[in-house]
Amino acid sequence: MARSVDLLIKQMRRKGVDTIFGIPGGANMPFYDALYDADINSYLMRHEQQAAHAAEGYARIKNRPGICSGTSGPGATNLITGLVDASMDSIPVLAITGQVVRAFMGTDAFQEADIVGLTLPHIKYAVTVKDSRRLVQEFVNAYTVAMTGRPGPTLLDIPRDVMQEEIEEDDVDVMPEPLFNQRPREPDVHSIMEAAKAISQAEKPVILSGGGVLFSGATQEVLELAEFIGAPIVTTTPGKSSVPETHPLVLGVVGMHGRLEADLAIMESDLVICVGTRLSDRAIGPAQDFERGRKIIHIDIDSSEIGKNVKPTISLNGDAKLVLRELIDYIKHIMAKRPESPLIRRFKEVGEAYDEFMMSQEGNSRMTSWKVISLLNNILPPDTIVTTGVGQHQMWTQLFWKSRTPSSFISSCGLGTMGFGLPAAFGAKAAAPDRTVVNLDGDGSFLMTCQTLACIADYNLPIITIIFDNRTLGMVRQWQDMFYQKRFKDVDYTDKTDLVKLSEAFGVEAVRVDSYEELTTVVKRAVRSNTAITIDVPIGREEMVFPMVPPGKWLSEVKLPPGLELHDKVSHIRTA
Amino acid sequence: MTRFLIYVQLSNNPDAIAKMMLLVKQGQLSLEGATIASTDSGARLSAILTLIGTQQKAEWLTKKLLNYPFFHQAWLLRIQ
Ligand SMILES: Cc1ncc(C[n+]2csc(CCOP(=O)(O)OP(=O)(O)O)c2C)c(N)n1
Repeated sequence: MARSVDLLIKQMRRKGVDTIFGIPGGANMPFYDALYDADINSYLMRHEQQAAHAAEGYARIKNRPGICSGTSGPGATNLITGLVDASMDSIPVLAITGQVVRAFMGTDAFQEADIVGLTLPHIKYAVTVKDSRRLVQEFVNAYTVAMTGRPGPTLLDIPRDVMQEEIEEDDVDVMPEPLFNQRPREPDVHSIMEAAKAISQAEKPVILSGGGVLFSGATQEVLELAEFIGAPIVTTTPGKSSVPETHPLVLGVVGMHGRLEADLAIMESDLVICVGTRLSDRAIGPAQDFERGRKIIHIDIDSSEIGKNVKPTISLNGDAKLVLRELIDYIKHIMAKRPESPLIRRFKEVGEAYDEFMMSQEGNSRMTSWKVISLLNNILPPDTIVTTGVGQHQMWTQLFWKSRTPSSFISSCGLGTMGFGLPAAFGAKAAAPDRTVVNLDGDGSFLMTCQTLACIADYNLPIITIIFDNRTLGMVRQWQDMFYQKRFKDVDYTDKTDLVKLSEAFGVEAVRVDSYEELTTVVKRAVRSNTAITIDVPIGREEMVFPMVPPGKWLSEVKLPPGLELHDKVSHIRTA
Repeated sequence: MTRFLIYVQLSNNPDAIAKMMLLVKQGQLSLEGATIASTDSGARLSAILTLIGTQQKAEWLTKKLLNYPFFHQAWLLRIQ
């Protein structure tokens, strides 16, 4: 006989769980007690939201579920933001929450919250395990389904007395029940043939690579297809690191704050091959405009995404890697390899003109966000993992940071959760201690989850945090500037909060830099010595991120940085 | 707007029913009627929902349900 929670931990080890982020409390104490003897790294976080984001960061690197835990009531409810975030970005995360004992459930007992009910709209699977003999099976189910098909968050809610109940010991490798382990559909041969034919007939095809490419591990297939048909690749924000942005065919992120060359490629295309993306309005603008004048092939593992936002000409439901493999094999039979489209050079010239213009701009502060990020491209190792908060700094990162390895750009794309960057970086570093992990943060975002610095210090997980310190909620300020007649309300901070001292108080070295040279020296030293550091970079409050496609508008309505003229290069883009 | 019947086989627990209704809501479909009964010696529930909305949303719901392991099967029938 053994406690069910001990059998749970044993099964977790069997399934390869080696890391947990969480905080103990009354209801999940037996879980922590069982962890005491286990060969599992458990990181004591300072807030459960941070545990959930850390689990997301971990999952993105390991490509398997990240685990977070909280006690019943507030511990569990604090996890919710991270779980909804994971749902929006299709990240496999398993939350294990304690629950009040069965006899007290439904009595508004101390720290009782219906966490299953609270997370149900956004969770792939959640269950309160009331039968201790089901605990291990439910874990295996929740763990498996989190990464089966389209990945997403799951939750296992366990009453304290269930954890403690003694049950028959049966230490075997438990398999998921069939409903929790359904294989994705095989690609439909007829649709593959149709898609191949459409591609062979297209004159200006473009590949739009989404986050699904990362989970499917389809980077090579996307590149192979692009190289064979000579087509440019653009990405969504979650798909940013799905292809190396230094590859000659890759034009960068498309959409609201996308690269001009990527937006142009979509605008001029006669066929877009969309892979592993839900085609959100942020990426492609209004669906009617996107659908007009071009064919669309939509490849997605989640059949409900096909036709949800955009009506495709051809739909290919299945795992991106498998579908692309078959598609490429078939295409190679019906067409010859094409040279790189001459349009790509033209698109790139537009991008280069934008870069050149931005590099000539000084801004009001001694340093500008875009120059800082451009500089980081040259001094950080190619496999650096970059995380971000949410706001202008995130968009500058999207525009100027060049991802070179898969899953090396980790950001809150769908939910847009300020405070995501630091704990996600912590989780990523726990998953990849040998890689450089850099959190590019806004001061507003940083202040939402800066307690993770305490964990960085305690566990000696060296993360480099660069704060784009504009003393304002920059992105909101930009919208107030553009759409609310500059009526700046509740966005600006004073200088009173000293972010350097704050970081030092948590035990992490910090420095305020005043020049690009100083920044270079500090970053290089931190990378070389593999030490944690917080770098406060003063940035002008007036910076505005352009290009920007105003919400609800088609890509051709993009607003350029004031002063940038592109009329000689493109006729169908307006200036701000 | 069209009227649809969706037949769903789901696990026999209130969370599965709640999830089903939340998906009806997320699909912006209106509910005209629902019949839920247990089958399979109580192991499962079978639900018949009468819904009004667009074809696109009804199809979305039918496919979306199968993303979640609360649901065994879902069929859509257009009735008007
Ligand atoms: C938790 C949360 N609250 C509010 C918002 C709305 N919001 C979006 S961007 C932004 C400003 C972010 O400021 P900061 O992190 O300093 O980044 P900056 O835009 O200045 O680069 C706010 C408040 C959000 N995305 N997330």
